[in-house]
Amino acid sequence: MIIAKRLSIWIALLGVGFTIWALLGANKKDPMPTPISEPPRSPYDHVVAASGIIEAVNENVRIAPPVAGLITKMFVKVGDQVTTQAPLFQLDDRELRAQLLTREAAIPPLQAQIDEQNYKIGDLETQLHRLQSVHDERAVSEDDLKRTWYALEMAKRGGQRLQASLKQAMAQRDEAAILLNRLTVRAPRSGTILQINVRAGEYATLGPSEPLMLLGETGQLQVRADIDEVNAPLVTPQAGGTASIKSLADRKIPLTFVRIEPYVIPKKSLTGENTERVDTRVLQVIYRFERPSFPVYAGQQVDVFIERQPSRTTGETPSSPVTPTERPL
Amino acid sequence: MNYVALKMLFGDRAKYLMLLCGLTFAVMLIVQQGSIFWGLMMWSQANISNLNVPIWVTDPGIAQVDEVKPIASTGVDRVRSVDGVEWAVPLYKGLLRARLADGDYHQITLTGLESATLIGRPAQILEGRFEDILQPDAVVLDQWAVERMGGPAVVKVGTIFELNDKLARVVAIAKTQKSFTNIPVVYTTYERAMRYVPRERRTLSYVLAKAKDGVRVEDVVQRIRTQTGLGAFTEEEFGWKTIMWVLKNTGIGINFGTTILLGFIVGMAIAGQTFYLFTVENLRQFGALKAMGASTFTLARMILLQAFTVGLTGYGVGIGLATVFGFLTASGGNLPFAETWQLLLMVLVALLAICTFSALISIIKLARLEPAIVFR
Amino acid sequence: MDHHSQSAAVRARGIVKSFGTGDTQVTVLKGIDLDIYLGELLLLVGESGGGKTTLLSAIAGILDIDAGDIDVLGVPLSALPAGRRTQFRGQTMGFIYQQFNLLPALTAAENVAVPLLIQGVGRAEALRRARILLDRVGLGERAEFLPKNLSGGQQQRVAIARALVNEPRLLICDEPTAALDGPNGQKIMELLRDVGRSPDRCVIVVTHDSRIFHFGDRMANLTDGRIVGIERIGQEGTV
Repeated sequence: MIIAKRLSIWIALLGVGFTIWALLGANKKDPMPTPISEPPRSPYDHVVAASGIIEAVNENVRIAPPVAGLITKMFVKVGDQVTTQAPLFQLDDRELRAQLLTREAAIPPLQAQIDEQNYKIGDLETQLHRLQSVHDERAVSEDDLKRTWYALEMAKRGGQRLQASLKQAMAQRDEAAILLNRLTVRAPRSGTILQINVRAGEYATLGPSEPLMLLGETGQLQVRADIDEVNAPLVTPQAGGTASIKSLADRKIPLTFVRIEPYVIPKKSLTGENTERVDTRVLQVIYRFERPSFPVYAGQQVDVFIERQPSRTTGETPSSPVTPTERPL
Repeated sequence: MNYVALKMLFGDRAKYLMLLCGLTFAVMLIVQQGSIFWGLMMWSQANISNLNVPIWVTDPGIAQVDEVKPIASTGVDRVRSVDGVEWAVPLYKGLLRARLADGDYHQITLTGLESATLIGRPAQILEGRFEDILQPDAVVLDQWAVERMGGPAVVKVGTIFELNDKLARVVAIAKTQKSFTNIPVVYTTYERAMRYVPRERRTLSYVLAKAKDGVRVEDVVQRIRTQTGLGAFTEEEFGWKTIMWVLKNTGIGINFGTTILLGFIVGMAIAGQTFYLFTVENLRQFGALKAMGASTFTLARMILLQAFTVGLTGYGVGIGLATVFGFLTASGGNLPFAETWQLLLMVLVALLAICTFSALISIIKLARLEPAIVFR
Repeated sequence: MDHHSQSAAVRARGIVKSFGTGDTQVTVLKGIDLDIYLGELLLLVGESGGGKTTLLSAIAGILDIDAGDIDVLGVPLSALPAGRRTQFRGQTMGFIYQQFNLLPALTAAENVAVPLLIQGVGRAEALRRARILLDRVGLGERAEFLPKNLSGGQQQRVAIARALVNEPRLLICDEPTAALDGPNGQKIMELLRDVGRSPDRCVIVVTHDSRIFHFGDRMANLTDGRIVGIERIGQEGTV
């Protein structure tokens, strides 16, 4: 074959070969690097996806101080189990304690005065007795008798006034004691200390943006799922679902429907910022779950997949899904 | 007679080499120009291809990848709710200023990947470990960021700089395709990106998704569009959208298009003319053949055979040289060069067409040729 | 005469051919009548520009004539369509040119084989027959030489071999010796006379080289577009 004798033909074939090789090499797309953990995948064919947060079944108590003041002592640490009325922290009480001392000191003089008055009354009573027992009108004038009687009555009234003053002083002492007692903040109910945001020496203000202390019950946890209002019509009550915590997406936690919150609220973006940004409105659905084998914590974010019926029935109006169907746990 | 035709073609070595050089040069010129142009276009959509994710969801009014139009953060869940979606993760993308320790400011693209999966991360890491991005304040740079921000002497693993007055520490350098704008890319996690960027009402730039195996990506994209009302695109669609935007809104389309067109015309003119001259010079020989009884049809076949032989040879050598050129200059990624089989096919068709065309002109001339020429 | 008793191989009657139009029109052939017979070597002589080559082209069917008829081997050329005429030429005629017109890229043997290849003969067979012809013209050992490596006389001998390879009935030679020196021209003419001439072939040689006139059987003088005389040459007295 004449063609095979030409160097140029071989160079051309070489060129084509090299080009094909280079093209195959260059256009070979790298496969996507495998995710470092499995992305959350839906276990159902038709789902409504939502982002949720794990929370205590009884809603958390945000402990607040009765008055603004310096915190002098903490009685608990995070994670402590507390019973009702257990002291949580102590506000600065020195001022009230000083007041109490003053108030307490005001009582003994009053009691001494009362004693003094009693003696005075006894003296006058004796006088009056003696004057009445004398029947000689010349020896005892009517006038003396009357004056002594008046003096006795006045002394008795003075005694009563002193008694009232004593009661007042004691009440004032008690007030200080009660106010003092109030500065020890106590648990309103039993539970676990979830969060403490103040330390001894800090100043507790009224109505802070974040609670001084968060008290909750972590024995029973539930999932609160936020569903975009656009997807709200797709949610059917009683529909099952699964949740997975971030970075453990392949470990599914089966969810049991509890209830749909009947009021659609603005979504809070869960960025941990102080000021949440209103983005869109969401329907909240509550789910119960059994504690899985791996640890989960209140406040953890989860990806939620809720099963839904494939056909979107737009014609018929379903009965309101907002019917409390909570069953006893 | 094919044998005679090829012998005639190869016989005159000087003429043949000239012809071959002309065609080779023309092919090389076109392929090289076209590849550089296409390379530039690839650069313009580098911010898509670097993430290497099949489905992109964002505002339907989006024009191109670098023009971010954030959507509500529930977008991720809405996309996950669409049938046939295997997974969907959020992506933050936005421009930010980085301040280096020496006081230099650099515009950067902050890319926030979903922290649990890091979907969208570059496949190749030059230094460090990408997973270290999960450490506090950690960010990953691409190699072009290192180049733009002052080279490896200034920016390396361990370098600390400020992003919007917040601390960022480089833990890895990733290898990526250079982008058209060449704005350095800083990778971080989606959550951390929220911390770096100034407060906005909406922060979710894109939802990245993948269709379930066995489901057509186009179907899923269509479903996401109708069900969520968001703009959903396959990676290719979004790439094309970006390329079209660049062509329409920058001078590149016109400028480069003109250059390529000129290169194409010049190349093809050279190819056509050299081959035409070759046949004209051989006209006397063809006349002799005609006098010896070769029909015009036979001669036409011979000329076409010659044209295709030299055309294909020139094509092979030409694309080979162009590829070698691309291989040598573009291997570092600093020069845009993307050869595609579509371009090569187009050049092949055009070259064969121009060879056929010039061969046809020669054939017409031959058909009109008086064999009497040989008596002179 | 034997020749005249046979029917002519070429029979030309009243051939007229003009070139150009209007004022610039030149009539080159002004009514030519000519018979050429098988077995003879006819010399066509005359001044330059007298129309010798034009007449040759017309007889070969390469050039269309304005008026008159040419029959070759009983076939009226003007009646044949162009494609058939080319085929007919390829089958019945061989050509020898002043400039040899060998294909420079082909070896001597390949050049000789070209007419056979045109006729569709296989390459191996064509080359085999070409070598036989080269042997007959005395160039057997140079079959694989390229034309540029052969002398002018050798090239013309290759051309003769090529012209004869498909056994033509009509051998048309246009100034075959003009590009050669005297001795080489003599050799070529001897070859044409000894190898080319045969009882069933006629050889037409256009020339104005008087040194080779004695190789011809007859000589036709073409001047100013007309045949002004046909004479019989040499030892024809014995014929």
